[in-house]
Amino acid sequence: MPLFKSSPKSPQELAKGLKEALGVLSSGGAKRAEKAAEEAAKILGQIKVMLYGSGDQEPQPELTAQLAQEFYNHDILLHLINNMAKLDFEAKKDLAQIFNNVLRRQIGTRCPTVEYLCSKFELVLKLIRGYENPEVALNCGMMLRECVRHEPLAKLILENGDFYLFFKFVELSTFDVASDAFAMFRDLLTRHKILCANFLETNYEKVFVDHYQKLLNSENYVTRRQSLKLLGELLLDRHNFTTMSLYINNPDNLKLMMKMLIDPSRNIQFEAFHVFKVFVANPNKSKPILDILLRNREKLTDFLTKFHTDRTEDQQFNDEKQYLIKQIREMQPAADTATATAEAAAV
Amino acid sequence: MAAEEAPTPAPTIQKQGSVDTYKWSNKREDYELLDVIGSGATSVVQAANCLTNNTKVAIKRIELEQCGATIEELQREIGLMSNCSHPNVVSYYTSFVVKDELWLVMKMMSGGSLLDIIKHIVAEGDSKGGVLEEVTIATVLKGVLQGLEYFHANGLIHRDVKAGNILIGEDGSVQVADFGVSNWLYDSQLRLGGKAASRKSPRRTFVGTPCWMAPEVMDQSVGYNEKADIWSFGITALELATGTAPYAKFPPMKVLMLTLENPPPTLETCGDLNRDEYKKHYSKSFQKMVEKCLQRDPAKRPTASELQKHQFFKKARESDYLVQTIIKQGPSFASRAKRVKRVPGSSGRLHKTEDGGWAWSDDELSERADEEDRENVKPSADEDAVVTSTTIPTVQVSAPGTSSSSTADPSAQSQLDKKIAQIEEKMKRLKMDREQLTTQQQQNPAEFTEEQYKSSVALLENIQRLEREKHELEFQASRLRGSVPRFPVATAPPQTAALLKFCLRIRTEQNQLKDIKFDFIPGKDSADALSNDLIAAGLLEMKNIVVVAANITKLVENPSQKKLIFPLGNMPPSQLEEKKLIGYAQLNLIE
Repeated sequence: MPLFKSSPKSPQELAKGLKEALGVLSSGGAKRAEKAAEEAAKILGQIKVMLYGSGDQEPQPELTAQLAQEFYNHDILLHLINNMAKLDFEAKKDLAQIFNNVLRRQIGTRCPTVEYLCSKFELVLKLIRGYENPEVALNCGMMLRECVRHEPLAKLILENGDFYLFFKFVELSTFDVASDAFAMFRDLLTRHKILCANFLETNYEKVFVDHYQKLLNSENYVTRRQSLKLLGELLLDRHNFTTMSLYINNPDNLKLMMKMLIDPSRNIQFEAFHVFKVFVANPNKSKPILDILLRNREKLTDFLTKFHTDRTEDQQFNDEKQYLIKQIREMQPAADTATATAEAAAV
Repeated sequence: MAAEEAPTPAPTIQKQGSVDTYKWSNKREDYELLDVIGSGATSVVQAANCLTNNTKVAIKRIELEQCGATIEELQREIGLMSNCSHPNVVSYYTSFVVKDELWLVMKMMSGGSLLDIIKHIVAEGDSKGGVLEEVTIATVLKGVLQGLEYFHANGLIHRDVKAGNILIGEDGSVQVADFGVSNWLYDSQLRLGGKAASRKSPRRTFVGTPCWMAPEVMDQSVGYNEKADIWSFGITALELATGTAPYAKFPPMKVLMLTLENPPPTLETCGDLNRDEYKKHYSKSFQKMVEKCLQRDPAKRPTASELQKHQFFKKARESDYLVQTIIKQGPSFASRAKRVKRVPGSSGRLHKTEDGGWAWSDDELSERADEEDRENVKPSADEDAVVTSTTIPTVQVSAPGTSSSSTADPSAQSQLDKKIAQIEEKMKRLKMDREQLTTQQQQNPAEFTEEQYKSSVALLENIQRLEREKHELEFQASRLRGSVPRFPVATAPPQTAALLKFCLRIRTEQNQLKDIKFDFIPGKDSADALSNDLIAAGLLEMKNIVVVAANITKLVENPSQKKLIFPLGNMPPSQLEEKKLIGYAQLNLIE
């Protein structure tokens, strides 16, 4: 090959070299491991060029196909993920880019890497657990984000108990890791509409009562604010109609939102307003909900009248606020409450 | 802050990208805050001592309540920073939340920014023939170029290269700070939006600071790439020589005009006062280098790697050269630090006082104030709420009004009713099937097969589709009846109610405009039930339910208004177009 100074390695050679380096990396002594890490980093760099091209050099489809095949046959991705923490900073980034490129591969309508990962799901679980290790958390996040784009993988993650780990990850103390985990959490719950609606509906109790509630009551300001915002998005998505109906008929949820309306943070108050409005606008309020609203009628109308009065430029907000005030002011007790009171009075 | 035990000695040198960088504490009490070294509209940068490893750091404290950026934007920014590890790129250590502030822990660059330094030199009156001498400029800019080369190799564009964003360390190291789409992070100069707002915060249409901005970035009809940074780099070179960017004295709009219309600035055209002096002080190779960067056609500008090979950069020295020159010339650290009045009990918050200084508020004070604020306007979510009954009021499908509307067509209506009944029957069956599957899944998730899952999803889709069909039919039926009396009416009826015919013009998810016509009988219909029906019929997005109901109410109460156009709050303000109903909907009364 006269065109190149040194002829580039073939996909088979690259995969073989990488596998050897990773083998040493996972079992060898410190000295050997260091060399192996360097070797692995070098090969990852070459693989990246093969997949993405460089300069005016376009990637060649037949080479990338061969490479992917090597990856599946020798479980290279799995080995890479297992040894990720031992790779250097730039090699980890290369790995994430390589992983995502291979994952996006399509043959017709088939996504062979997605199929591969479905059969080697422990690899995806490993990526999720990556959030526990700050050294690899964000790299894992990058790869997971690509995984979640694919419905079969998103579905497996949701159905696997490990999904509930995210409730813990979003409260990690390092902001960038926690908020990356939150972005993933949101993706998982919103990206594939039907899948998500089905998941939320089937697991309503576990998700909202057992776990989500804790996020809304978190000590961490960012967790509170973000989870409340996401809650609003989830409830106002028409695919989640059933979930919303369940949510807005539970008086505990209404009480929580009323509490959040008076949170010291204006941002949180504002997000709470956007959930609270759904309770009030619901034409089929359950009796307990109606009772709470009626009991607090004076306070609520008074409160809303003074609520964020400086948002004069936000017409939607002001329209909605006026509407809520009117609704609450004119609210009628449920028919059976009236009779119940009448009976009580008679006794 | 209470004196703590002397921390165990720890290495003071942090290797870039090494494991060490992950070992920073995320606890507020592990940092002893010192002087304020910089401030923006919603943030301050403070020197601090990290007690766990006894290292001096800079902490940027961003007030999340006030900050115009969303948390997602901040996350993106910090994600970018933590994804960079290069000696010429700002070293980020960790970040964490303290009350409603975000603390960003970064390497302390005690020399300050190059802007601080050139300002200081100019103020000392030491800049007749140019502010920084050529060797210093070459040394600094070479570091900047290496930083930019790293950015560009990672597919990033800095977009705001300027002296104010180049930081100098105690040891003469040079780091590029503040990158990504985020001039708000370190710099409040270009907060076009002014006040912070959350949902409605104006999106800056272009990023960067006008004086340093490449023409193709200003001209938004063409895209731009990393070569935009090379232009800004050239402007920065002029800035270091003359003390300001060309056109710095003009207002932003004028700067845009001059940049787009005039030939690219040069040392001669921008240094109007000391033109001849400058020419004496700065070599041809400096001027050539600048000229190469400031070419109108981005493709002609060199890349960051190519530019490093330019003859001018042969003059560059090692970084300790800068210790001798600019760090000695620059302002002392102490003079930059602004004194902070401190109130005991220092976990309070910093805020700017009227005289522009910084002060701590005591924790308890501020909490008491919060308390009072809340006291004034508080509804209480009554915890002891007596919840006696959990019965959910059943949906009342009341009999069609015995004819408030003479247009009712009984045969069409009975047909509709029949169809609705059929659909209801179908739905009932599907729902039962699905319930079975759901119970199976809950009881025995392990044995729940792919097939079963798929059919469960398919069932749900079918149910939802049928539900929409049903509601659509019901909606039609109700229109035939001239009202939508499916729900108990909550509004107090006005006395003489005339039928109101509405038309709602709104965009579908596919962005098509559509007209939805419906009738409203004041006193009989309620806006919320109607708007709810529109949702159920798949004619309206859930998120618009309240705002549509609110506007129906407005027109019902004041029919003389005839027409209302209202924003839907689903779009960034830059894309809104009221005339085309992009991000808006229109509701009007038909005669």
